[in-house]
Amino acid sequence: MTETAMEHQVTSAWRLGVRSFVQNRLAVVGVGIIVLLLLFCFVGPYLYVTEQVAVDPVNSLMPPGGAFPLGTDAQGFDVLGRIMKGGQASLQIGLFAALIATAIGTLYGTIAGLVGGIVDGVMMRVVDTLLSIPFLFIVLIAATQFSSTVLSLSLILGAFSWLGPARLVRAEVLSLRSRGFVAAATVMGATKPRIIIRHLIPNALGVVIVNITFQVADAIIAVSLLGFLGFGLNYPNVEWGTQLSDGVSHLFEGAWWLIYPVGGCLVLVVMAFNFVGDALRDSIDVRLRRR
Amino acid sequence: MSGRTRRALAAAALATLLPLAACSGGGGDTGGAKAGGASPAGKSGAQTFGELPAQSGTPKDGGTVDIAQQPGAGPYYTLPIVPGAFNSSYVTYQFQRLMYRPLYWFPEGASPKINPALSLAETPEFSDGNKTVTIKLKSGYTWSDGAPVEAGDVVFFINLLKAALKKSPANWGGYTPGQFPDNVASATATSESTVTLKLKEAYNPEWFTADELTYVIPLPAKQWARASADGPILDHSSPKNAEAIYTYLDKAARDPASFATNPLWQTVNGPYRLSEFDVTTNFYAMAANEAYSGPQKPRIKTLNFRPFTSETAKFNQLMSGNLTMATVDQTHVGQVSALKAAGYNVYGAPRLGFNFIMLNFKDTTDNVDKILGQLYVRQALQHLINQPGYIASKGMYNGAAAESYGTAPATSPYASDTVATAPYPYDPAAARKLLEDHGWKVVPDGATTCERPGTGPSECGAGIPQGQAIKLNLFYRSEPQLHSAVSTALASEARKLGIAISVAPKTFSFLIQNYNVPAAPSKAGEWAMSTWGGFSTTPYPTMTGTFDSKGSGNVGAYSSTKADELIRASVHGGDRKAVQAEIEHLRTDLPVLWLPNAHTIWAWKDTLSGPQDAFASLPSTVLTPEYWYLK
Amino acid sequence: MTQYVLRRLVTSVIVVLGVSVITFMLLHGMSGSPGRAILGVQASAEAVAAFDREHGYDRSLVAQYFSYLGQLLQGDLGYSYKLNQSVNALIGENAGRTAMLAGVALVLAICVAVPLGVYQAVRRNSIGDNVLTTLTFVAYSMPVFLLAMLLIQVFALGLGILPAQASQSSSTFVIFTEPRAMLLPVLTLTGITVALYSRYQRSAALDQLAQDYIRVARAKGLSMRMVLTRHLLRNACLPLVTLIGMTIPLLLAGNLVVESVFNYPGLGLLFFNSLNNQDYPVLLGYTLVASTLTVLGNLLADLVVAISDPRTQRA
Repeated sequence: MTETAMEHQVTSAWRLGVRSFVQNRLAVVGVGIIVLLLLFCFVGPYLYVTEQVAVDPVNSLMPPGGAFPLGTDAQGFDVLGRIMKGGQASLQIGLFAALIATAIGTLYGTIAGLVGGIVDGVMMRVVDTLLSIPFLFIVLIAATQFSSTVLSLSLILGAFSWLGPARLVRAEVLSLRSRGFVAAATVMGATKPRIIIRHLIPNALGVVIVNITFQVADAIIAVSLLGFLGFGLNYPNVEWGTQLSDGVSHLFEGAWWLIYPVGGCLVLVVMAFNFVGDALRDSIDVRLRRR
Repeated sequence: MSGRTRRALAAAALATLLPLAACSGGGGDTGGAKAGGASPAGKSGAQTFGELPAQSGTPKDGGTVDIAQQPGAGPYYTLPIVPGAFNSSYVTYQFQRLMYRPLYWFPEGASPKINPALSLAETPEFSDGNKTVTIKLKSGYTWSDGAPVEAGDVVFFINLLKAALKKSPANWGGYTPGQFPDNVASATATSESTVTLKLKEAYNPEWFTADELTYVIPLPAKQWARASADGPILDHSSPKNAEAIYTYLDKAARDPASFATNPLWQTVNGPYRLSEFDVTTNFYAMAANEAYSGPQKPRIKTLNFRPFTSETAKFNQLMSGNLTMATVDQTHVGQVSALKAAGYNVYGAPRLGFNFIMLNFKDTTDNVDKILGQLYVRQALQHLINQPGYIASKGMYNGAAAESYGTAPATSPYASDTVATAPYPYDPAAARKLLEDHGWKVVPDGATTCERPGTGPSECGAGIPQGQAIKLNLFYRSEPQLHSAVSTALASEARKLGIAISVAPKTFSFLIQNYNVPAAPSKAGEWAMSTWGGFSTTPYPTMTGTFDSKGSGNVGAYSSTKADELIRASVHGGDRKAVQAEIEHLRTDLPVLWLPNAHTIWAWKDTLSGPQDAFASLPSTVLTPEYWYLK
Repeated sequence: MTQYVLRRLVTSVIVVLGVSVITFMLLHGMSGSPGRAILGVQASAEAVAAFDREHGYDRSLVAQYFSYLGQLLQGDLGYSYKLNQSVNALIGENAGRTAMLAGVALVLAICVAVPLGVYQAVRRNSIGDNVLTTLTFVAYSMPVFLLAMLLIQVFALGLGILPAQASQSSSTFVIFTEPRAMLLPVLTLTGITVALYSRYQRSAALDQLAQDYIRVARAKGLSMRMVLTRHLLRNACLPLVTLIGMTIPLLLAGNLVVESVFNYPGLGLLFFNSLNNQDYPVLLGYTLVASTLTVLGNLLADLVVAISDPRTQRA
């Protein structure tokens, strides 16, 4: 097999993957939702301008209607605008945390998988150890000790969720190493870096990308949990978890508009990322399971 | 004077509140103290929440009253020398004081002053240039075993207290080095009913009586002065014996499993004695002391103190009629009418204390110390706090708070009429003018900076360079959400004047451990402001220990020669009214930013009645159940 | 095999010790004096210093950690001054209620998730499968507190047929004595767990369906029902055991949130309240218990798989 033939194999695999992905209707829906929500959160505030810094007690807890399509919250902020603002932070933290986790995990997993031997053994035992730490407990304890910002929350979440990706990538690298085309390339005299760059990374990329989508979904849920338990962003910033937490206090007064719209957005976006992740996984046909 | 005079209102003082910042952000309202437009859920400015019902029905003997304990505030210590770790107003007033009566009782109804009728001794006499105190015990008071309450019992308490503190300063929650009992050179029983105290220094008689002698609780020396359960009665005047006795009593006082069964604790001089104590749930019950010798024999036979894990759980039990009385936290203030319909009286009043935003005068970051050191800046900040608006706002106090601008509650006999009048009422325009008059270029929604540095009357002030912006951080207690609402409201108001206040929550423990200048001086540069509740005050509301330069409770390191002088006069001077000048000075000098004083609200079944004074003291967590009866 | 178990046990102990170091340093390394937190803001400096000295808080962090470790080895988790009880007693009092809530929810979840997953796998891509897949997707994408809030909104506030708060009884068996008051918390925890498990169960069953032995069994003329019960269910259950072991941290986290939302007096609520009180001994104690459970769960999962799967046994 020649170099070009192998490249052709890789590219056509990608093309096949893309085709299968597009054929998966849920995946298309998922991408659609993500794009719409991104537009809503990041472009929306330019089209629908609301005051999100100065509190407005006169207009607090107004039900939907009139000037406030989704009502106002307890501080008098327009809920629709608030969801956009909160969504920005939630999505940012979700993406950053996922990227941090994936970056650390990919690097760690690749090194372990490529080097192998004792180093691999030790590195994987470390992962086992860290996996036994109850995630939420440590994150909550850490959150009480730091002030919450987009960056600190992303770092805390990312620092405690790179273990899954590390395992996945290592497994993928191990299996790729033993595949025929790598062996063939080696026989044909390709250098190790070349193998890594031309063959391993493009092939392992699929796993990494699938994993990122799931990581984003998980991180968005995790940060909403932190916000709900009182460790979210501070005024004037907000994310969806904090919004929901504030809404709980007024649930008993019938302020449903503080819960359903933001809750719906949260579920939608997490679901969309899960859809996309599932479809991507099917389309690149790797038999991996989440976590 | 520390933990003793002003316990932090802390955990239970302010119940969970709803989040909502509601100071008026409206433009037109510059009219001073007028309420700022928020929803009219309550009458702002009212000093009490609802009215005390008149005494009614015919007093009847017998019956059971079920009282809710404050969530997480069970009593865990029986000896009336409570170590700091166990100290709270609940262990004092809802547990120990029912069994062991203090020498001098306060308050009298809603008024925070000595209550002569319930005190065991006559008003003390001061002589020898206020260095000798003579205390005459009233006759007729007896322990439940029939023995009279004697001068020796008072001396026993003081000896025991000294022994406890010699072992460790942490053994008594009220201890401040140099003050009681360190300032007592000798305590002698000069007769069966007279105690003479020789003091090391001259003290203001009013202060010494109200703030020091109120901590004296006669203890049954003839029963308790032993070093073991069946040991002989020892001479407690020997420090060695006193220590052995303390060690024995302290050990027994820490064993909840034997609280109700240990015969030690059954010798009481209060109207009730402990009859049941469940270690796992902290449920406890008290039975009437038939031998009580006070002015009113208890009529209710049994008091059940029921434990709860949350305010909501407590409220639900109240609504379903399973509790005779309980406090109502502010999340449930909106449902007070339903409570009334369910047959409860509801009444609230501020605690004896004051709430505030603490200012850090030692924060050198961004020259915060220089900026907050300027009275006009503090005035401007106070002008941004809309107390009537906060009180009225449904999301903040929901009507259940009183305006408060100083260290003394309006009910204090030392408070002047001005205490509920804002010295610097809500008025953003006035705040802006103050800044502009002192050389600041005000940029609304931007960064206000110092234009004219210098120390002249129209200049920014010492140490503030040209171009300096006002950047403050404000850490608020993460629970209840009221703190978040108040902090957000202030930050939002300040922003309109170009003052950057960044807010962030911290747990209460974190705040008092770290953002506390005397306790953690190395962290003074990390915080500019903090808010977590308030301090409670004593009957004679001097701020010694809190706002004097060397006070260990001087969290923000406020320091003023004038205040130091006035506080010294309150404690050591001969003028019994000296504290009034101190209160007035602090009110306008703003050692902290004043916040409304939240009401503590109680609900009790309308089948329970008694003289109004017996219920007026409830908001101070003080129970006088011997006056209650079921109709 | 014995060697494998021993090696796993040793690493488990190391893991728990590691967690204790991390938690201890996170808590004690970053805050001021515990005496200040316990005695209050107005306590005199002398009293705070004395308290810290008496309780050893004035020593170096390392020294403090080792004396804590010494206590731990004697089974003593410390003493909570905020609650004036030993941590052992606090955990002991609350563990029963938490175990009961989590246990009932877990059993219910398995009873629902296993048949659901198998059904979906067998009827792959049917309308039923698609509906169920979508539903589990929604539930899976929902933070546990949001599900709790929706249930409260619908059943407690909307219809008004169930209480919004869990029972406050101190009885361990409150789920059975006051089922109405416990329905919503149990439902929430079950719902989240079902969503988690049925997705795995479906793909596990799909894998099994594709295995040769099923085809062989079908070819032998066994009815689908027989194949399902005899082979598929049994073999597809193995990953479930592993799954339960592996998802213990998620179950504990879900439990923490459910107990906080419904105010159910158990370990989760205890932990949550201790976070706000900075009650270090309780935080440390429960985190250690939780990580021990996690480690044991992992160990159990691996062992079950190792024992029941001849392939791993040989390896």
